[in-house]
Amino acid sequence: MTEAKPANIAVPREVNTPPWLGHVLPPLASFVLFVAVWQGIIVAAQLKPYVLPGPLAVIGAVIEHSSSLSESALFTFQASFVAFLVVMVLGTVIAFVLASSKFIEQAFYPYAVMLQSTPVIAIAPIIIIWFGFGFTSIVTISVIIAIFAVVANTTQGLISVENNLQNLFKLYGANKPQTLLKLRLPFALPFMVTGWRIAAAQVVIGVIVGEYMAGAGGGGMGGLGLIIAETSARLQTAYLFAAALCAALLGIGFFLVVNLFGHLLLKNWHESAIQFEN
Amino acid sequence: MTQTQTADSRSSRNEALVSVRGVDKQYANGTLAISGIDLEVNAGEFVSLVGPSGCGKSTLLRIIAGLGDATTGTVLVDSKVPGDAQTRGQSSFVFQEATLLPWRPVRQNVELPLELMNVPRIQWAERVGDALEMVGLSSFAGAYPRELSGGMKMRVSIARALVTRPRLLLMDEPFGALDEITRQRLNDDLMRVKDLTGATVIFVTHNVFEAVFLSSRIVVMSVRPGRILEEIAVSTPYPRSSEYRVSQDFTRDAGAVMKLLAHTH
Repeated sequence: MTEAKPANIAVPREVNTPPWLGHVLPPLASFVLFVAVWQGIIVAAQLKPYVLPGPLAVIGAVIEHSSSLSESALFTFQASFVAFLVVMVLGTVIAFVLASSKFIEQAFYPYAVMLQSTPVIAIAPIIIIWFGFGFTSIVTISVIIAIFAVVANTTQGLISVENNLQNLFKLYGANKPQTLLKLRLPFALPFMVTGWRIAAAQVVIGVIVGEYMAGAGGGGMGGLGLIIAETSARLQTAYLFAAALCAALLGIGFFLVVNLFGHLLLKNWHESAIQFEN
Repeated sequence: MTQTQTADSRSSRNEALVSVRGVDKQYANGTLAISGIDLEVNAGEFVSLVGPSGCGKSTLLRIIAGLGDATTGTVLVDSKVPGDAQTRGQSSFVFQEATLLPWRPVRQNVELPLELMNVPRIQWAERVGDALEMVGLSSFAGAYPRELSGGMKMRVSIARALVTRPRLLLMDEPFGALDEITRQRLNDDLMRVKDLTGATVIFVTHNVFEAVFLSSRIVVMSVRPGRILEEIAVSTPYPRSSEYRVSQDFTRDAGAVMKLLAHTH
């Protein structure tokens, strides 16, 4: 199947290819190249499978462990989904509080930054002491990693509303709810979408990290992160790669869904979502 | 406080729509922006405030709009304190930039004042239609601001100001960012709007030709702290067509204003 593709790449641009093919071909070509180099290195350097398994070994591991991988992926997805909801709601509420007054922002923003810059590896043990191994700790760790993107971007959006737009609302006697719903919120939306995009990617990473440190074993209840932890200890490297591959696909899928949602919200008016023709 | 103002306005009951008495404005950082401003604007007048950058003409306009308070002195619009809820919508403000909401199409941008003032929805269509027609944008009601040129955005902004059917139109260098051709076209349109609505206009600009073309009276201000140096009446009657721009009267009045401005530095 992969052998047929390189021949297609040689087709010159001028030939009428459907536009989507132009988007699909370049990453496909780089993927084929990547797999070829990967296999080539193993053959050339005669690497042991536990150091670097070949592409076929990884695919084999995916098939062999498909039931435990899919159970774990489902768990990881559920934890990511819950963490993302918490990040969206809690992050937005915190941003509204921070943006409500300059004093509150100055008083509390440094602590948000501090929480963000503290390595999660230092916080995780405390969280495990509080919540034990399992779902709650995993989600909490993920939320701590991802929430800052939503807080920072939403706050930024809410405080950068143009002065004269605020004057306009003041001129016509707009009350607070009107100003919030008809001005500040839509004005902040492109910033918020940026925050959601970053958080979508970070939330999955956060859950994998959380599972790695706080995952409870048995029946896929530790998610992909726990599989990664266990397989690395047992030198089941192909299985480890298979779990990492699943985690990557999950992360990309999660990001794309959030990206699409943001695009739909902004597509009519915001420059980030409009395709320009020059 | 309201009582004294009502009494004050009764005692000075004349025809002035806008009355500015002894107004100073000092900013919190100590800058004295304007000082000792006395200005009366009668209904139907078109008054331009002209002066060098930083002379406080925008500051004065904002105080008249109720967007800022005078440090000393009184400002009354239609015998009321600017920003009074009762007179809301009777004066409109056009900013230097179009200040449109980019997420709303033209129609909904023009509806905004009606929405915020809780005007019954049944009146919206007619009012918005009238306002858009006056600025010649009826066929662009569904367009988003990003699809419009700078001049068209400003037209939307003017339509939004007109939608409340204001008696007083306050304009803060609205055409400053436009090219000369667009500016002249919008000046012509503004003349037409004034003719149709009969609104009183106070217009801030640093463009002498624009001021002479539009105004019945030009108020020349000095550099900071802004004071009124002189007022020049422009006698050419309305309606004024674009031929007025190349007439001798126009040249003479523009010359007089420029001469005064030369002494402001």
